[in-house]
Amino acid sequence: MNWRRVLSIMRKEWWHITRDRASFVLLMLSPVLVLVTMGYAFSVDIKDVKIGVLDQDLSQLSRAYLAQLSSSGALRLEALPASLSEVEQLLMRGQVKAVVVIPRGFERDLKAGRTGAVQVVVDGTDPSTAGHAIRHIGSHTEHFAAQQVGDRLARLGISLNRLEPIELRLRAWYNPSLRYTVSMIPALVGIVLSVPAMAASLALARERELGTLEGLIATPIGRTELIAGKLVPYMLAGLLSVPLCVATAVYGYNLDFHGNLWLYLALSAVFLFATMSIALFISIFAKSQQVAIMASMIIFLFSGFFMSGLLIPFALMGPLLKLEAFMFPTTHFVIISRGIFVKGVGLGELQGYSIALVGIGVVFMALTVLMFKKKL
Amino acid sequence: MTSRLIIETDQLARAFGDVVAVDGLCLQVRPGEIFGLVGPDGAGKTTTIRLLAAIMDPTGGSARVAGFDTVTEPEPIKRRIGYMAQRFNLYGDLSVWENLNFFADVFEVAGSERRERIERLLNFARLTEFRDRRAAHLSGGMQKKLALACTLIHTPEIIFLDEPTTGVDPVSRREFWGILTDLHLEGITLVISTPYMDEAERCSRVGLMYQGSLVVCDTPERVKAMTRGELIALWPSDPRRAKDILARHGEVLEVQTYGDQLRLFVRDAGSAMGWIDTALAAHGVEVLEMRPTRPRMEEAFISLIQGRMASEGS
Repeated sequence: MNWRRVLSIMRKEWWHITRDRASFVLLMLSPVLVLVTMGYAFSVDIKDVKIGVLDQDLSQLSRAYLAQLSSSGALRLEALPASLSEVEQLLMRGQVKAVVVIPRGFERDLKAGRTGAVQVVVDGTDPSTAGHAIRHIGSHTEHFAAQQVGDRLARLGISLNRLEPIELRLRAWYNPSLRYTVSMIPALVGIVLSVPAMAASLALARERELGTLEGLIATPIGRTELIAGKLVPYMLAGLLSVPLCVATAVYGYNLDFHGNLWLYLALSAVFLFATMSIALFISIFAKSQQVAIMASMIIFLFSGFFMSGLLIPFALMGPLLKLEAFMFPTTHFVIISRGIFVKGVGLGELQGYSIALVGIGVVFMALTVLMFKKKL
Repeated sequence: MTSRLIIETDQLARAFGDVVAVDGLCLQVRPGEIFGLVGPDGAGKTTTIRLLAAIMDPTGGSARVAGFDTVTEPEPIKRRIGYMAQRFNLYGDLSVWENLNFFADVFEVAGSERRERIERLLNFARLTEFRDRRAAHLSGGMQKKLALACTLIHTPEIIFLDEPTTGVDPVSRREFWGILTDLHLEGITLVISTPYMDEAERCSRVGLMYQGSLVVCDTPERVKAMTRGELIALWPSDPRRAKDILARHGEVLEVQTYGDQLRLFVRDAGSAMGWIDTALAAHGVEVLEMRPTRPRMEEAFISLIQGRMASEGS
């Protein structure tokens, strides 16, 4: 290992990055751009779901129930259709996501002590919004029903302070209002920090494609020197974008950074090392830039989203998929990033994940150096 | 005997799947030679040079370069050679000076020696005034000279040049060969592949490659002497008809066309000068000019390849 040679390759690589405006912008700014666009795409916290109510009873009690439904910000009473055909039209046009049908005799049944039935129709083409509507309509209905029970008991001369024997007091630690962005943005940093690795993979493939690699392998340059010289500048570029990502999260999305920024930087470096190792490993086999970019996109973006526990929870994965996810650096970094960013935890809690990242990096780096041949 | 050879191959072969690019090549190059590899496209020149530069492993046979085996000892070879690939393979976004410096680092040339050599090479390649220009913005000829300068930074014993002057204008080509001649005079061994026959004439020895092996390997003078019969240059009024008529004649060994000119290999040039006139006149073709001439590399090359193709066909 000749350090002068490594430094020379690093400097050359840095010149490649900084002199080509397109690649400089891609490398330095794309993490932030991706974070901004994807952040918005993933941070749609559902609120204000539009609903309609078809009141066929038109009684005092049905009015009270209606008022109960629209009492919180979760649902918005958008329309009062008069008939079932109107209900269908509303759903077809997408003007409402759910319709509550209060049947004739609603008040009479309740007053007579019978069970009152209420129908809820939801737009099943959008399950997450429908689910949200069902949950909120359900809780409002339960609340309303409990009031009715209380009223009836009072009429019978029984008075109770509390109707529910157990009250559930929910407290979401680290993210009290359960904002989606609080969990998504730090996780997305794991995706956007894969961009420098993709660029590194592209850089080696480009040298192969342009023929400059042919010139290099005819020199006494060592393969470790060559790989190290490629790795470091792209890691540096990636590290520079970490503070930019944190700033975007804090100022752009109003997140609080709870942990230690230096630890975050250090573990980001470890993560970059792991992704870079995989990316360079890919580019040994990639004969062209297209192959390199396709392969690294499938690995870093596709798997990054679907296998890292970012979108699909681990609990839903089969044992094989879990094993695959474990070998994938983004999986560990998503946990590290959420941990430091949101929970403010230290290295002690993140030890296992950090060791896993180091392991992945070392294994793939060793494979890369061993399998890189100075031959055409 | 072996010590007198700087490059020696034994039944060297390289196949790519079913395609055999180099087929049982036995090549010997002596120190200080300019060795020219000539041959048509696809003859295996580039593959041969890559095998000798130890950046490709053979599928058969072996090669020793500067006393080292290309498969088992590639690294000592790489310290002693300079390799200039056919494609421009320097960094276009780096300046002339930065490219030279990069290769100086790669070859561990340091200190005052490094500065001195870079200055000397810039001067040598006449690139001093372009030292800060990006390599991508140089002309084709200048790029070739820079590439050559980069392969010379560590004063190699052998330089491999794969078609270094292809696509370079005649003036730059002449200049480039001026540089190569200087290197030759310094005692450096040069192995150069070229499609240009005038360049082949400048070599100490040429190896004519065809379908992966050597057809002949000798000095340009001897290669030219291998042609059969004597050569006549002829400018007839109708070259196409004249060619058909003469090709059927028993005295004519071979006819090659160069634009409006026919070049005839005949058994005896003296008598041919007499009968060609009458033979063509009988068919209404006039002889505009005719003279006996000496074969150039080009005729020898085409004649040898055609002979090889004919013997394969029969």
